[in-house]
Amino acid sequence: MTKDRFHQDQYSRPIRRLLTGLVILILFGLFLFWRIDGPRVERIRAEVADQVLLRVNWLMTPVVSTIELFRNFQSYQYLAEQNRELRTELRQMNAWKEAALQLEQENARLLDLNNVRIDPRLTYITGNVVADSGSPFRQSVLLNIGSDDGVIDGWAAMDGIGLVGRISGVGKNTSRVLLLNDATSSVPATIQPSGQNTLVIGDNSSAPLLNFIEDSELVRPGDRVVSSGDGGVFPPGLLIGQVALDSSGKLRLRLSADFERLKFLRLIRYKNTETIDNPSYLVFPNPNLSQNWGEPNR
Amino acid sequence: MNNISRTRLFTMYLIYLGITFLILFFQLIPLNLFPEAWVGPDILLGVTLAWVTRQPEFVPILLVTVSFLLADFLLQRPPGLFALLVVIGTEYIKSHVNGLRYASFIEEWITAGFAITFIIVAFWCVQAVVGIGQAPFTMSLLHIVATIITYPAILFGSHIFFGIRKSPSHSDDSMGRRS
Repeated sequence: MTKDRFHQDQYSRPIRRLLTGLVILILFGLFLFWRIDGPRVERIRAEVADQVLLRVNWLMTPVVSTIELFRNFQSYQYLAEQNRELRTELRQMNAWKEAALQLEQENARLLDLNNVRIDPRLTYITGNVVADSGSPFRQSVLLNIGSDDGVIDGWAAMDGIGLVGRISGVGKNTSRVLLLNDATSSVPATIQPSGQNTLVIGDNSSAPLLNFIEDSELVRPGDRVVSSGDGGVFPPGLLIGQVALDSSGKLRLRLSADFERLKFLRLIRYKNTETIDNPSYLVFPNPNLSQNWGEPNR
Repeated sequence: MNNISRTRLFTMYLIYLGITFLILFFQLIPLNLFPEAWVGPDILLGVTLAWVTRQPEFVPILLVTVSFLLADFLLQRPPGLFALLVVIGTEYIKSHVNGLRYASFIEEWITAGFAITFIIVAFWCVQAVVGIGQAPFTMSLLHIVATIITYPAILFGSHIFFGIRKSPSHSDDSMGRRS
Protein backbone atom coordinates (compact mmCIF):
# COMPACT_ATOMS: atom_id res chain seq x y z
CA MET A 1 0.00 0.00 0.00
CA THR A 2 2.84 2.33 0.81
CA LYS A 3 4.34 1.59 -2.57
CA ASP A 4 1.01 2.19 -4.24
CA ARG A 5 0.72 5.49 -2.57
CA PHE A 6 4.20 6.42 -3.63
CA HIS A 7 3.36 5.69 -7.25
CA GLN A 8 0.18 7.62 -6.99
CA ASP A 9 2.06 10.55 -5.58
CA GLN A 10 4.61 10.38 -8.31
CA TYR A 11 1.96 10.90 -10.92
CA SER A 12 -0.50 13.08 -9.09
CA ARG A 13 1.95 15.62 -7.77
CA PRO A 14 3.10 17.02 -11.15
CA ILE A 15 -0.48 16.97 -12.37
CA ARG A 16 -1.63 18.83 -9.32
CA ARG A 17 1.13 21.35 -9.76
CA LEU A 18 0.16 21.80 -13.39
CA LEU A 19 -3.47 22.28 -12.42
CA THR A 20 -2.53 24.87 -9.81
CA GLY A 21 -0.44 26.76 -12.34
CA LEU A 22 -3.24 26.61 -14.87
CA VAL A 23 -5.86 27.88 -12.43
CA ILE A 24 -3.61 30.73 -11.32
CA LEU A 25 -2.92 31.64 -14.93
CA ILE A 26 -6.61 31.60 -15.85
CA LEU A 27 -7.61 33.72 -12.86
CA PHE A 28 -4.86 36.20 -13.54
CA GLY A 29 -5.85 36.29 -17.19
CA LEU A 30 -9.45 36.97 -16.23
CA PHE A 31 -8.41 39.83 -14.00
CA LEU A 32 -6.19 41.26 -16.74
CA PHE A 33 -8.96 40.89 -19.29
CA TRP A 34 -11.35 42.70 -16.95
CA ARG A 35 -8.86 45.50 -16.54
CA ILE A 36 -8.43 45.85 -20.29
CA ASP A 37 -11.94 45.24 -21.54
CA GLY A 38 -14.04 46.10 -18.49
CA PRO A 39 -17.45 46.60 -20.14
CA ARG A 40 -17.57 43.11 -21.57
CA VAL A 41 -16.74 41.40 -18.29
CA GLU A 42 -19.12 43.72 -16.46
CA ARG A 43 -21.85 42.60 -18.83
CA ILE A 44 -21.06 39.00 -17.92
CA ARG A 45 -21.23 40.02 -14.25
CA ALA A 46 -24.65 41.57 -14.77
CA GLU A 47 -25.81 38.35 -16.44
CA VAL A 48 -24.45 36.22 -13.59
CA ALA A 49 -26.22 38.38 -11.03
CA ASP A 50 -29.35 38.20 -13.14
CA GLN A 51 -29.32 34.41 -13.30
CA VAL A 52 -28.47 33.91 -9.63
CA LEU A 53 -31.05 36.42 -8.45
CA LEU A 54 -33.69 34.83 -10.63
CA ARG A 55 -33.11 31.52 -8.88
CA VAL A 56 -32.96 32.67 -5.29
CA ASN A 57 -35.51 35.46 -5.40
CA TRP A 58 -38.29 33.19 -4.13
CA LEU A 59 -36.17 32.49 -1.06
CA MET A 60 -34.98 36.03 -0.49
CA THR A 61 -38.36 37.64 0.00
CA PRO A 62 -39.58 35.40 2.86
CA VAL A 63 -36.22 35.55 4.64
CA VAL A 64 -36.10 39.32 4.45
CA SER A 65 -39.69 39.67 5.68
CA THR A 66 -39.05 37.27 8.55
CA ILE A 67 -36.00 39.20 9.71
CA GLU A 68 -37.84 42.48 9.38
CA LEU A 69 -40.72 41.06 11.39
CA PHE A 70 -38.37 40.32 14.28
CA ARG A 71 -36.83 43.73 13.97
CA ASN A 72 -40.25 45.30 14.13
CA PHE A 73 -40.99 43.41 17.32
CA GLN A 74 -37.91 44.94 18.82
CA SER A 75 -38.97 48.38 17.82
CA TYR A 76 -42.45 48.15 19.31
CA GLN A 77 -41.16 49.33 22.65
CA TYR A 78 -40.07 52.59 21.11
CA LEU A 79 -43.36 53.04 19.39
CA ALA A 80 -45.11 55.22 21.93
CA GLU A 81 -42.20 57.56 22.20
CA GLN A 82 -41.81 57.68 18.47
CA ASN A 83 -45.49 58.43 18.06
CA ARG A 84 -45.26 61.47 20.27
CA GLU A 85 -42.27 62.78 18.37
CA LEU A 86 -43.99 62.22 15.08
CA ARG A 87 -47.01 64.19 16.24
CA THR A 88 -44.94 67.25 17.05
CA GLU A 89 -43.08 66.88 13.80
CA LEU A 90 -46.34 66.60 11.92
CA ARG A 91 -47.56 69.85 13.42
CA GLN A 92 -44.44 71.62 12.20
CA MET A 93 -44.77 69.98 8.83
CA ASN A 94 -48.31 71.25 8.44
CA ALA A 95 -47.06 74.79 8.79
CA TRP A 96 -44.40 74.10 6.19
CA LYS A 97 -46.91 72.51 3.90
CA GLU A 98 -49.07 75.61 4.03
CA ALA A 99 -46.07 77.78 3.20
CA ALA A 100 -45.06 75.48 0.37
CA LEU A 101 -48.53 75.53 -1.15
CA GLN A 102 -48.63 79.29 -1.09
CA LEU A 103 -45.19 79.49 -2.66
CA GLU A 104 -46.14 76.96 -5.30
CA GLN A 105 -49.16 78.98 -6.30
CA GLU A 106 -47.16 82.15 -6.36
CA ASN A 107 -44.47 80.47 -8.41
CA ALA A 108 -46.96 79.17 -10.92
CA ARG A 109 -48.50 82.65 -11.24
CA LEU A 110 -45.13 84.26 -11.79
CA LEU A 111 -44.04 81.67 -14.34
CA ASP A 112 -47.28 82.20 -16.16
CA LEU A 113 -46.79 85.96 -16.14
CA ASN A 114 -43.29 85.65 -17.58
CA ASN A 115 -44.31 83.03 -20.10
CA VAL A 116 -41.48 80.71 -19.05
CA ARG A 117 -41.24 77.31 -20.64
CA ILE A 118 -40.05 74.65 -18.24
CA ASP A 119 -38.56 71.28 -19.11
CA PRO A 120 -41.23 68.66 -19.46
CA ARG A 121 -41.52 66.59 -16.32
CA LEU A 122 -39.10 63.70 -16.31
CA THR A 123 -40.81 60.36 -16.51
CA TYR A 124 -39.67 57.50 -14.37
CA ILE A 125 -39.94 53.80 -13.75
CA THR A 126 -39.89 52.35 -10.26
CA GLY A 127 -38.02 49.24 -9.18
CA ASN A 128 -37.75 47.20 -6.03
CA VAL A 129 -34.45 46.67 -4.23
CA VAL A 130 -33.77 42.94 -4.26
CA ALA A 131 -30.16 42.70 -3.10
CA ASP A 132 -27.32 44.85 -1.89
CA SER A 133 -23.66 44.72 -2.82
CA GLY A 134 -22.98 42.03 -0.23
CA SER A 135 -19.69 43.49 0.87
CA PRO A 136 -18.83 46.42 3.10
CA PHE A 137 -16.37 47.70 0.51
CA ARG A 138 -18.89 48.39 -2.20
CA GLN A 139 -22.06 50.41 -2.00
CA SER A 140 -24.60 49.34 -4.55
CA VAL A 141 -28.04 47.77 -4.76
CA LEU A 142 -29.68 45.48 -7.26
CA LEU A 143 -33.11 46.36 -8.63
CA ASN A 144 -35.64 43.96 -10.07
CA ILE A 145 -35.97 45.82 -13.37
CA GLY A 146 -33.57 45.43 -16.26
CA SER A 147 -33.15 45.78 -19.96
CA ASP A 148 -36.50 44.06 -20.51
CA ASP A 149 -38.09 47.07 -18.84
CA GLY A 150 -36.05 49.48 -20.90
CA VAL A 151 -33.51 50.42 -18.27
CA ILE A 152 -30.38 51.98 -19.71
CA ASP A 153 -26.95 52.40 -18.16
CA GLY A 154 -26.39 55.82 -16.64
CA TRP A 155 -29.93 56.68 -15.57
CA ALA A 156 -30.33 58.47 -12.27
CA ALA A 157 -31.91 56.60 -9.38
CA MET A 158 -33.86 58.44 -6.68
CA ASP A 159 -35.93 57.53 -3.73
CA GLY A 160 -38.95 59.77 -3.21
CA ILE A 161 -36.86 62.76 -2.20
CA GLY A 162 -33.24 62.72 -3.19
CA LEU A 163 -30.75 61.26 -5.60
CA VAL A 164 -29.45 57.83 -4.62
CA GLY A 165 -27.09 56.84 -7.39
CA ARG A 166 -26.88 55.84 -10.99
CA ILE A 167 -27.42 52.69 -12.99
CA SER A 168 -24.20 50.87 -13.67
CA GLY A 169 -24.73 47.44 -15.12
CA VAL A 170 -27.98 46.22 -16.62
CA GLY A 171 -28.99 42.58 -16.88
CA LYS A 172 -32.09 41.17 -18.48
CA ASN A 173 -34.24 41.42 -15.38
CA THR A 174 -32.00 43.20 -12.93
CA SER A 175 -29.94 46.34 -12.87
CA ARG A 176 -27.35 47.60 -10.45
CA VAL A 177 -27.46 51.02 -8.88
CA LEU A 178 -24.08 52.41 -7.89
CA LEU A 179 -24.84 54.42 -4.77
CA LEU A 180 -23.47 57.91 -4.22
CA ASN A 181 -21.31 56.79 -1.31
CA ASP A 182 -19.44 54.11 -3.23
CA ALA A 183 -15.74 54.82 -3.52
CA THR A 184 -15.94 54.87 -7.31
CA SER A 185 -18.86 57.26 -7.55
CA SER A 186 -18.51 60.94 -8.30
CA VAL A 187 -21.31 63.20 -9.46
CA PRO A 188 -21.16 66.82 -10.62
CA ALA A 189 -23.38 69.03 -8.51
CA THR A 190 -24.25 72.62 -7.76
CA ILE A 191 -24.48 74.15 -4.32
CA GLN A 192 -27.36 76.52 -3.88
CA PRO A 193 -27.80 79.40 -3.33
CA SER A 194 -24.17 80.32 -4.04
CA GLY A 195 -24.15 78.47 -7.36
CA GLN A 196 -20.74 76.92 -6.75
CA ASN A 197 -19.97 73.81 -8.75
CA THR A 198 -18.71 70.79 -6.92
CA LEU A 199 -18.11 67.10 -7.25
CA VAL A 200 -19.84 64.69 -4.87
CA ILE A 201 -17.26 61.99 -4.27
CA GLY A 202 -18.16 58.83 -2.39
CA ASP A 203 -15.68 57.41 0.08
CA ASN A 204 -17.59 54.48 1.52
CA SER A 205 -18.88 56.54 4.43
CA SER A 206 -22.45 57.65 4.97
CA ALA A 207 -21.62 61.22 3.96
CA PRO A 208 -19.81 61.71 0.62
CA LEU A 209 -17.13 64.36 0.27
CA LEU A 210 -17.67 67.61 -1.58
CA ASN A 211 -14.59 68.38 -3.60
CA PHE A 212 -13.32 70.87 -6.17
CA ILE A 213 -15.32 73.79 -4.84
CA GLU A 214 -14.04 76.97 -6.38
CA ASP A 215 -14.67 79.26 -3.46
CA SER A 216 -15.55 77.34 -0.34
CA GLU A 217 -15.98 80.59 1.60
CA LEU A 218 -19.35 81.01 -0.05
CA VAL A 219 -20.56 77.61 1.05
CA ARG A 220 -22.29 77.19 4.38
CA PRO A 221 -23.38 74.03 6.14
CA GLY A 222 -27.04 73.52 5.40
CA ASP A 223 -26.88 74.72 1.80
CA ARG A 224 -28.79 72.61 -0.66
CA VAL A 225 -26.85 70.50 -3.17
CA VAL A 226 -28.52 69.57 -6.45
CA SER A 227 -27.22 67.76 -9.50
CA SER A 228 -25.78 70.18 -12.01
CA GLY A 229 -26.24 68.18 -15.19
CA ASP A 230 -22.66 68.82 -16.21
CA GLY A 231 -21.27 66.21 -18.52
CA GLY A 232 -24.75 65.03 -19.38
CA VAL A 233 -24.66 62.41 -16.64
CA PHE A 234 -27.80 63.42 -14.81
CA PRO A 235 -30.68 65.74 -15.50
CA PRO A 236 -29.97 69.02 -13.71
CA GLY A 237 -31.79 70.05 -10.58
CA LEU A 238 -32.28 66.74 -8.78
CA LEU A 239 -31.94 67.21 -5.05
CA ILE A 240 -28.98 65.35 -3.57
CA GLY A 241 -28.61 66.66 -0.04
CA GLN A 242 -27.28 69.35 2.22
CA VAL A 243 -23.80 70.57 2.96
CA ALA A 244 -22.36 69.52 6.30
CA LEU A 245 -19.02 70.03 8.00
CA ASP A 246 -17.24 67.04 9.46
CA SER A 247 -15.02 67.09 12.52
CA SER A 248 -11.84 67.59 10.49
CA GLY A 249 -13.30 70.64 8.75
CA LYS A 250 -13.96 68.98 5.40
CA LEU A 251 -17.15 69.73 3.56
CA ARG A 252 -19.37 66.72 3.26
CA LEU A 253 -22.81 66.01 1.97
CA ARG A 254 -25.71 64.87 4.12
CA LEU A 255 -27.79 62.84 1.71
CA SER A 256 -31.48 63.65 1.45
CA ALA A 257 -32.46 60.17 0.40
CA ASP A 258 -33.10 57.80 3.27
CA PHE A 259 -30.30 55.31 2.73
CA GLU A 260 -31.37 53.21 5.68
CA ARG A 261 -34.64 52.37 4.05
CA LEU A 262 -34.06 52.00 0.35
CA LYS A 263 -36.88 49.79 -0.76
CA PHE A 264 -38.24 51.29 -3.91
CA LEU A 265 -36.14 53.38 -6.25
CA ARG A 266 -37.36 55.43 -9.14
CA LEU A 267 -35.18 55.56 -12.22
CA ILE A 268 -35.39 58.82 -14.10
CA ARG A 269 -35.75 58.29 -17.83
CA TYR A 270 -33.31 60.72 -19.23
CA LYS A 271 -32.07 61.15 -22.71
CA ASN A 272 -29.24 63.58 -23.01
CA THR A 273 -30.53 67.01 -23.76
CA GLU A 274 -29.86 68.12 -27.29
CA THR A 275 -26.42 69.59 -27.43
CA ILE A 276 -25.57 72.42 -29.72
CA ASP A 277 -22.36 71.21 -31.30
CA ASN A 278 -22.39 73.16 -34.55
CA PRO A 279 -22.02 76.86 -33.92
CA SER A 280 -22.83 77.85 -37.52
CA TYR A 281 -26.44 76.74 -37.05
CA LEU A 282 -26.82 79.58 -34.66
CA VAL A 283 -25.48 82.07 -37.15
CA PHE A 284 -27.03 80.67 -40.32
CA PRO A 285 -30.37 79.11 -39.59
CA ASN A 286 -30.87 77.58 -43.03
CA PRO A 287 -28.41 76.73 -45.83
CA ASN A 288 -30.89 77.87 -48.49
CA LEU A 289 -31.25 81.17 -46.81
CA SER A 290 -27.52 81.60 -46.60
CA GLN A 291 -27.27 81.10 -50.38
CA ASN A 292 -29.75 83.88 -50.93
CA TRP A 293 -27.91 85.91 -48.46
CA GLY A 294 -24.86 85.80 -50.74
CA GLU A 295 -26.76 87.64 -53.46
CA PRO A 296 -28.40 90.61 -51.86
CA ASN A 297 -29.74 91.96 -55.19
CA ARG A 298 -32.42 89.33 -55.62
CA MET B 1 -6.26 9.76 1.10
CA ASN B 2 -7.76 6.48 0.08
CA ASN B 3 -9.37 5.82 3.40
CA ILE B 4 -11.90 8.62 3.05
CA SER B 5 -14.85 7.14 1.25
CA ARG B 6 -15.95 8.62 -2.01
CA THR B 7 -19.42 9.45 -0.73
CA ARG B 8 -18.00 11.35 2.24
CA LEU B 9 -15.74 13.26 -0.11
CA PHE B 10 -18.59 14.28 -2.40
CA THR B 11 -20.81 15.12 0.54
CA MET B 12 -18.15 17.46 1.81
CA TYR B 13 -17.82 19.08 -1.62
CA LEU B 14 -21.54 19.68 -1.63
CA ILE B 15 -21.50 21.01 1.93
CA TYR B 16 -18.72 23.42 1.01
CA LEU B 17 -20.66 24.68 -1.99
CA GLY B 18 -23.79 24.93 0.16
CA ILE B 19 -21.90 27.03 2.72
CA THR B 20 -20.67 29.28 -0.07
CA PHE B 21 -24.19 29.85 -1.35
CA LEU B 22 -25.55 30.41 2.14
CA ILE B 23 -22.91 33.00 2.99
CA LEU B 24 -23.36 34.82 -0.30
CA PHE B 25 -27.13 34.70 0.10
CA PHE B 26 -27.06 36.29 3.52
CA GLN B 27 -24.54 38.88 2.40
CA LEU B 28 -26.70 39.87 -0.55
CA ILE B 29 -29.93 40.27 1.40
CA PRO B 30 -30.75 43.97 1.41
CA LEU B 31 -31.12 44.45 5.14
CA ASN B 32 -28.74 47.25 5.91
CA LEU B 33 -27.88 49.58 3.09
CA PHE B 34 -26.16 52.14 5.22
CA PRO B 35 -22.38 52.01 5.09
CA GLU B 36 -21.10 50.87 8.43
CA ALA B 37 -18.05 52.09 10.27
CA TRP B 38 -16.93 48.58 11.16
CA VAL B 39 -16.44 45.66 8.84
CA GLY B 40 -17.53 42.12 9.48
CA PRO B 41 -15.31 39.09 8.96
CA ASP B 42 -14.94 37.31 5.64
CA ILE B 43 -16.54 34.07 6.79
CA LEU B 44 -16.09 32.30 3.46
CA LEU B 45 -12.36 32.93 3.60
CA GLY B 46 -12.25 31.72 7.20
CA VAL B 47 -14.13 28.52 6.39
CA THR B 48 -11.91 27.81 3.39
CA LEU B 49 -8.71 28.30 5.33
CA ALA B 50 -9.97 26.26 8.28
CA TRP B 51 -10.89 23.35 6.04
CA VAL B 52 -7.67 23.58 4.08
CA THR B 53 -5.50 23.45 7.18
CA ARG B 54 -7.50 20.60 8.69
CA GLN B 55 -8.54 18.45 5.75
CA PRO B 56 -7.24 19.76 2.44
CA GLU B 57 -8.79 16.93 0.42
CA PHE B 58 -12.26 18.35 1.12
CA VAL B 59 -11.51 21.62 -0.64
CA PRO B 60 -9.74 20.88 -3.92
CA ILE B 61 -8.43 23.81 -5.89
CA LEU B 62 -11.24 23.80 -8.44
CA LEU B 63 -13.88 24.04 -5.71
CA VAL B 64 -12.11 27.01 -4.15
CA THR B 65 -11.78 28.64 -7.54
CA VAL B 66 -15.42 28.21 -8.41
CA SER B 67 -16.82 29.51 -5.15
CA PHE B 68 -14.50 32.50 -4.89
CA LEU B 69 -15.00 33.39 -8.54
CA LEU B 70 -18.74 33.36 -7.93
CA ALA B 71 -18.20 35.55 -4.88
CA ASP B 72 -16.03 37.91 -6.95
CA PHE B 73 -18.77 38.26 -9.51
CA LEU B 74 -21.61 38.71 -7.06
CA LEU B 75 -19.85 40.97 -4.58
CA GLN B 76 -18.65 43.50 -7.15
CA ARG B 77 -15.00 42.68 -6.72
CA PRO B 78 -12.60 42.73 -9.67
CA PRO B 79 -13.29 39.27 -11.11
CA GLY B 80 -10.52 36.78 -10.55
CA LEU B 81 -8.27 38.82 -8.31
CA PHE B 82 -9.50 37.74 -4.89
CA ALA B 83 -9.99 34.17 -6.14
CA LEU B 84 -6.41 34.19 -7.41
CA LEU B 85 -5.03 35.32 -4.06
CA VAL B 86 -7.12 32.78 -2.15
CA VAL B 87 -5.92 30.00 -4.44
CA ILE B 88 -2.31 31.04 -3.87
CA GLY B 89 -2.90 31.17 -0.10
CA THR B 90 -4.64 27.81 0.10
CA GLU B 91 -2.11 26.10 -2.13
CA TYR B 92 0.66 27.44 0.06
CA ILE B 93 -1.02 26.02 3.14
CA LYS B 94 -1.65 22.72 1.35
CA SER B 95 2.03 22.37 0.54
CA HIS B 96 2.86 22.87 4.21
CA VAL B 97 0.08 20.72 5.59
CA ASN B 98 2.48 18.01 6.72
CA GLY B 99 4.21 20.45 9.01
CA LEU B 100 0.91 21.73 10.31
CA ARG B 101 -0.39 18.32 11.23
CA TYR B 102 1.36 18.27 14.57
CA ALA B 103 1.13 21.99 15.10
CA SER B 104 -0.68 23.31 18.13
CA PHE B 105 -3.86 25.26 17.75
CA ILE B 106 -2.06 28.56 18.28
CA GLU B 107 0.40 27.79 15.49
CA GLU B 108 -2.46 26.89 13.22
CA TRP B 109 -4.18 30.15 14.06
CA ILE B 110 -1.04 32.15 13.36
CA THR B 111 -0.59 30.44 9.99
CA ALA B 112 -4.18 31.18 9.03
CA GLY B 113 -3.72 34.74 10.28
CA PHE B 114 -0.73 35.21 8.02
CA ALA B 115 -2.66 33.79 5.07
CA ILE B 116 -5.62 36.11 5.76
CA THR B 117 -3.36 39.12 6.10
CA PHE B 118 -1.48 38.24 2.94
CA ILE B 119 -4.67 37.77 0.90
CA ILE B 120 -6.42 40.95 1.99
CA VAL B 121 -3.34 43.19 1.98
CA ALA B 122 -2.27 41.91 -1.44
CA PHE B 123 -5.83 42.44 -2.69
CA TRP B 124 -5.73 46.04 -1.51
CA CYS B 125 -2.25 46.66 -2.89
CA VAL B 126 -2.99 45.26 -6.35
CA GLN B 127 -6.14 47.34 -6.56
CA ALA B 128 -4.19 50.42 -5.50
CA VAL B 129 -1.43 49.73 -8.03
CA VAL B 130 -3.71 49.24 -11.02
CA GLY B 131 -5.79 52.21 -9.96
CA ILE B 132 -9.16 50.78 -9.02
CA GLY B 133 -11.16 53.06 -6.76
CA GLN B 134 -11.61 51.42 -3.39
CA ALA B 135 -12.37 51.92 0.25
CA PRO B 136 -9.66 53.26 2.58
CA PHE B 137 -7.06 50.83 3.93
CA THR B 138 -8.33 51.07 7.51
CA MET B 139 -11.42 49.16 6.42
CA SER B 140 -9.28 46.35 5.03
CA LEU B 141 -7.34 46.35 8.29
CA LEU B 142 -10.57 45.96 10.27
CA HIS B 143 -11.58 43.21 7.85
CA ILE B 144 -8.36 41.33 8.57
CA VAL B 145 -8.74 41.67 12.33
CA ALA B 146 -12.39 40.59 12.25
CA THR B 147 -11.60 37.55 10.11
CA ILE B 148 -8.70 36.48 12.33
CA ILE B 149 -10.77 36.91 15.49
CA THR B 150 -13.63 34.78 14.18
CA TYR B 151 -11.28 32.10 12.85
CA PRO B 152 -11.27 29.93 16.01
CA ALA B 153 -15.07 30.02 16.12
CA ILE B 154 -15.22 28.93 12.49
CA LEU B 155 -12.73 26.16 13.21
CA PHE B 156 -14.76 25.03 16.18
CA GLY B 157 -17.99 25.12 14.18
CA SER B 158 -16.47 23.10 11.35
CA HIS B 159 -15.23 20.60 13.92
CA ILE B 160 -18.61 20.20 15.60
CA PHE B 161 -20.98 20.34 12.64
CA PHE B 162 -19.01 18.92 9.73
CA GLY B 163 -16.42 16.76 11.47
CA ILE B 164 -13.50 18.71 10.06
CA ARG B 165 -10.59 17.57 12.21
CA LYS B 166 -6.94 17.02 11.67
CA SER B 167 -6.51 13.81 9.73
CA PRO B 168 -3.66 11.78 11.13
CA SER B 169 -5.06 8.90 9.11
CA HIS B 170 -3.17 9.73 5.98
CA SER B 171 0.02 10.92 7.56
CA ASP B 172 2.98 8.81 6.57
CA ASP B 173 3.83 7.08 9.81
CA SER B 174 0.33 5.93 10.71
CA MET B 175 0.05 4.67 7.16
CA GLY B 176 3.21 2.69 7.67
CA ARG B 177 1.97 1.25 10.91
CA ARG B 178 -1.26 0.12 9.39
CA SER B 179 0.10 -1.59 6.32
